[in-house]
Order: sequence, then structure tokens, then C-alpha cells
Amino acid sequence: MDPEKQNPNPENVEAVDPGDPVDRRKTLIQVGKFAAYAAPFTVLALSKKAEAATGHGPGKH
Amino acid sequence: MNLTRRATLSSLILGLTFCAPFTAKSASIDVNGTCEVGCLVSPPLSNGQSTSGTFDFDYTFLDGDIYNVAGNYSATYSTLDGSTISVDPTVTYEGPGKSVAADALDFNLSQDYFDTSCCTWAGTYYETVPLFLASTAGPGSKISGQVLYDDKSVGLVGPFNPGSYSVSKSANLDFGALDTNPTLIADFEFTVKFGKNTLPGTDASSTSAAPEPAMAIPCGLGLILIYCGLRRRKDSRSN
Repeated sequence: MDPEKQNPNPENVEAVDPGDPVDRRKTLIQVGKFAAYAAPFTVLALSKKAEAATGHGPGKH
Repeated sequence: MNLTRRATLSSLILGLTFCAPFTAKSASIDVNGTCEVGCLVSPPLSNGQSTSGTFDFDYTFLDGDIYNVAGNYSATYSTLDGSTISVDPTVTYEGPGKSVAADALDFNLSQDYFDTSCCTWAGTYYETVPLFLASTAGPGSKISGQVLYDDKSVGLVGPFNPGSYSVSKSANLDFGALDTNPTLIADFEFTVKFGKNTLPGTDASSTSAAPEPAMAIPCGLGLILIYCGLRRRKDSRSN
């Protein structure tokens, strides 16, 4: 492997902040909660009752 | 405590007693002119009444081809809010083998509304007709549907080749001499022509089972969020 291709200019590479593990855990929990709320709606939408043929009109007036 | 229970029970009994007269069995169904449901008693719906039911029967053609017809229906009538009719028939070819000839099946749900008040039934009428015909139907198969009031159509939907469709229409209907008649007759006509060599299990229906686009958005959002959650968990573990 060409070492330049692997790391052409190591000085320009910004250090990635791994973030506070506690914050990441909180975010993960929030996402998990949201997914837990979204899942029933997903199931509900997929199991939506079939649409029937319908007709409607005015009452006698 | 005991008094509260009795009061609740009494309320329930009173509620059921008052509600019972507003529900009536009153629709009739025929296939190719043969009555299958509501044949003996078919009273009309008056103001404040509603009806609903299910049907499930077989229809056999002279050539021996057997079809099952099943579904639900409902109808309501109110002088103020008007008339409604709803039905979701599914016709399934049962066999015994590939269909030996083309079979035309004409399903008809009929519902009468009765109102002695003044003055006319004329006005704008609406229909939504979803249609589905499986691709395993034999060559030349067609499907169509429409809602009629006193034999005047809101609009014929189809005939279509196998596929999935949903069409909404409206029409201003004037019933001429029948306008002041206390009875208005609504009919839902669903016609399926199964071509020869239709495979057993082939179905045709006036239903649409696909989720609406508006419902697909929260669906997609939910799946994306679950994916993101799993991805983040994976990333955090790898770090």
C-alpha cells in the first residue's frame, strides 16, 4: 500500500472529538424512546384496514 | 358503591334500549340476479338508522367454476347528514382447476332509504371505488364498479385490466318524477369478468389495502429512526 494514499497529509487531518460518552448515551436513549413510540404507528400504518367502496349523498331536503 | 354500580347498569340498559331501534338489517346482495343476502326482509333505512353486516357465500357457474364472495357492508341515513353506503367485496376463484371458460360475475348491493319529509333527493352524490384484480386472472379479465341512486350512476369506474386502482367521482343527480318519492334506492355494482384459465386463488376486490402516502411518511420516519439508533449504537461500541 502507498503510504501517501493512506495518509497524504497527516497534519491536515482534524482530530475527531469522540464526544462525552454520557451525552452520547443520553442521545441514544432519546432516539430509542422515539423509535419505541414510532414503531406502533408503523405497525398501525402497515396493518391499515382495507379501504372499501363508498357512496354518499344528501338527505331529503 | 352499590348504588353507583346499579346506576351504571341502568344507564347501560337504557342506552341499549334507546339505541336498538336505530339499528336495522336492511341491505340486500345479489349475484347475477340471484339473491344471496337480505332476501326475505329488506326494510329501508329511515332518519337516524344504520345497518351493517358481513357476507360469505359461494357462487357456482353452470360450467362448474366456483367463486367465493365475502366482505362487509354498512349504510346510514340521516335527513341532515344524508345517506352513506360502504362495501368491500372480495371475489375469489376457488377452482376446482383452471377456469374452464370466461365467467362474468355481477355483484350488486342494494340499500333503500326512506324519508317522508319535504322535498327532493336531488343534489350532489359522491363515490370512491377502489378496484383490484390479480394478475393470475385469465386473459381478457376485466373489473369495474359504480354507485347508482335510483338507477342513475355517479360514474362508471373501469372496466380495467388486472391491477390496482382507486377512483373518486361526483355527479349532480336529478331524479325527475321520482324526486319527491319517499324512497331512494342506492346500488353498488361490482362487475368482474374472469377470463378462461384463471388460476385457483385468484381474487378480485373493491378494496384498496395499500397504506396511503400520508401514512407511509411516519412509517418511513420510524424505520429511519430505528436504523439511526442502531447505527449510533454500533458506532459507539466500535469507539
